[in-house]
Amino acid sequence: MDPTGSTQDQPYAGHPALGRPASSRRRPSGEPPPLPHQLGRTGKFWLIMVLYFCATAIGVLLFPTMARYFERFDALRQRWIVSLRTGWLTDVMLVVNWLTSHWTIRILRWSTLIVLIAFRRWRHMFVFLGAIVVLEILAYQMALLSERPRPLGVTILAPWTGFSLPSRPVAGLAVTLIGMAYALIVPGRHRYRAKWAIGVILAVVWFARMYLGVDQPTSAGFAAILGVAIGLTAFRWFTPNDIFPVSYKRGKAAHLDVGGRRGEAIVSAVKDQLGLDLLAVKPVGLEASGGSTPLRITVAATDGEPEHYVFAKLYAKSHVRADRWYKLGRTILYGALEDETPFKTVRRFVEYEDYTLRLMYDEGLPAPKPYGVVEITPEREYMIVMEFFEDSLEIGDAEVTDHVVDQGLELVRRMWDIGLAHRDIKPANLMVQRGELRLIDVFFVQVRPSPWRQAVDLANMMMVLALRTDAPQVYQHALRLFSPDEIAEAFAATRGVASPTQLRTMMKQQGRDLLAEFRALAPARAPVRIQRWSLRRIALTLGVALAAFFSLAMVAGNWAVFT
Amino acid sequence: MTRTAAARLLAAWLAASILGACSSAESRSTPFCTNPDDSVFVLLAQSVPSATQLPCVSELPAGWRYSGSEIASDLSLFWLDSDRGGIHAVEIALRPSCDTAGAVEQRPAPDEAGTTVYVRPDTLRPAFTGKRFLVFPGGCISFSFRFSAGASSTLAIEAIEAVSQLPRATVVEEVGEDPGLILCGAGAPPCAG
Repeated sequence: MDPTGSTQDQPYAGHPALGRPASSRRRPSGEPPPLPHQLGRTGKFWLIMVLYFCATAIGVLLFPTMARYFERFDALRQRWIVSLRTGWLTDVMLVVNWLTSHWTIRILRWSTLIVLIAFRRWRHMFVFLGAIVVLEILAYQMALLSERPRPLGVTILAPWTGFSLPSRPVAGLAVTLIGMAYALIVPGRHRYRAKWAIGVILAVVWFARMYLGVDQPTSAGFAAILGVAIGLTAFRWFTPNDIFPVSYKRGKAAHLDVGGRRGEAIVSAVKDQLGLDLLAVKPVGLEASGGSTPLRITVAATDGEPEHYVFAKLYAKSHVRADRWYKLGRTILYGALEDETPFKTVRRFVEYEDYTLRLMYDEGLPAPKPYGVVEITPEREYMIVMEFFEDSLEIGDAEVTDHVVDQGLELVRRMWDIGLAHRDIKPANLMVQRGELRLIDVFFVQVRPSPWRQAVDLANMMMVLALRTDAPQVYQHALRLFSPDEIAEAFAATRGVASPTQLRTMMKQQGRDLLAEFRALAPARAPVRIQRWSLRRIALTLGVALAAFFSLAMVAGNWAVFT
Repeated sequence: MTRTAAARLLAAWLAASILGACSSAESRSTPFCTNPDDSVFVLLAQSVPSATQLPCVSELPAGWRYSGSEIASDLSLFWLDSDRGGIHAVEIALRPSCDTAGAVEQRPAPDEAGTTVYVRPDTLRPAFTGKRFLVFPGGCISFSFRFSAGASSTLAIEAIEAVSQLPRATVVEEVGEDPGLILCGAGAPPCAG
């Protein structure tokens, strides 16, 4: 069978020629990867500052002489600052000190959370919350460990709570402001200015706290450094600008920015690893893809091949986590029928898709020709490159001839025969290229799936084909490859969430109940039970419910500490 | 150790720390009267600079436990737990002044010399609750008793005996031993500002 009519009649021969591409290059040991994972110079600076202060704090705790030296040093500086006290300046400093009040910090934190929720920037939200939690715990524990009293020798003019090193209000304000800058402000000039503004605010607050006699210079200074360092490190590490840019344009969070450093890294990585010269990298079909960043890449002409496109999918660690949650949700929803093990690393993730792509292609199914995997950042980001179906249309927009209907049904029959299931048959994954059916996105392909999953593939395929034709026509064609009982089983197994959302939405838009139409055509059969309960499913469901309960209880119980 | 295991350990540590933070202890060490150089007394003295006496733990009877403190400007609290009276059976507070309305004056115990003592039992059944105030120049130490149902009110005597007072002047002296450091407030030379 040659369902594609294009490249299937030739054995897979790598790209562009058999074996290793001539212009590819092996990265020597020690050479950085195309897009190295970096903390940045300022991030390193702040971490060094924290380490310096921690070392000093340990020294102070271990050697009382050193502690007394620091105390005297601080007391001397503080007395000089306090000597500047005047009526109006004290009023100003008291107003500045409001910035460190519980209410100010609480309002800033809640406002940030509301904006992040409104823009569904979940990753930034969790990093913001995480940085606050870590900072509050660290500052609290350090204060208990240091047991440093409030400044000596000066009258304290502002309210305070607990020991002074580090100053918890200053640390709380610092981590909140840095978090706001990184979670809310678009990188570039505005964020740069915001960081300077935060520096000025913290310096003024530092002075005010000393002036009011509520914190020692070192306590307030260390707190500011600690807050900035934790906020900065958390955001630079978990939400690097290149991968998770702050943007107020609409779009799915799964999609990575392919401009800037990443864009350059993709070009050099594809050149080095696949030997292809790239002219352009453009995101495509973002609206239909939530699990990766799909790209159309323009490849420069060579002696043997004209300029052409290849298709690529960019995967990052965030996609692995999203896949893990997706599978957990499916296991809870469907139980034993969808018993799947999630991937642990992005490398395994992309290796699996590469494997399924090659498997489908080798089996003669109309899947894209695989070109290989490209490493962008080791263990963090990979790209899978494959054939691009030029001049193709999504099946929902294309003319669906009898030939296309037959190809769709043959595709399912072939998958049944070789023990595969696609598990995501929907209009966005079926293309028509010059009258021939093409199948894309093979990430969900499963080898030796459950019979239920295979049956669902058939029903979904028949419904997709009927979207542009009609149910009796598709049913008649199906009878050539499947028995009436098999078709009856497919529609008995399929209902509701078993069909992809896009397919259900399109049927709803057309006002057609294709499921009922096909069931009426097929022999009667009792519905196949989707919901299967197993110990694993019960344990997972209870675990998720308990985790949610304890998370809420923890937040409620620690309200005062975090806010 | 795998990354996953390390991540789980870290999560457990974080969770334990967060839950640990639930207890409102600002100080882990018990403020024993015999350790006047403990920094917790400096903080207590800073909390109410006018107070000439500071609460301290003289000796904990069997079944009693110090469960932490919360020290802030103008108000310091610490708690004693009892195996019979319950968690936070007694709350000891240091304030600049107390509202002794409705309380009856009582003769001070020998270690309470220099203070005026007031008591106000609120309820006896089903659980004993009441207050005891030690008023002295510049401040007041209050005992709030909230025993579990069925616990004897005589436990209050044990708690009263467990807590004593440390003269602020002792702490001022301890801090002043280091030249250049002064603990501002009652019994100390005037401070800057």
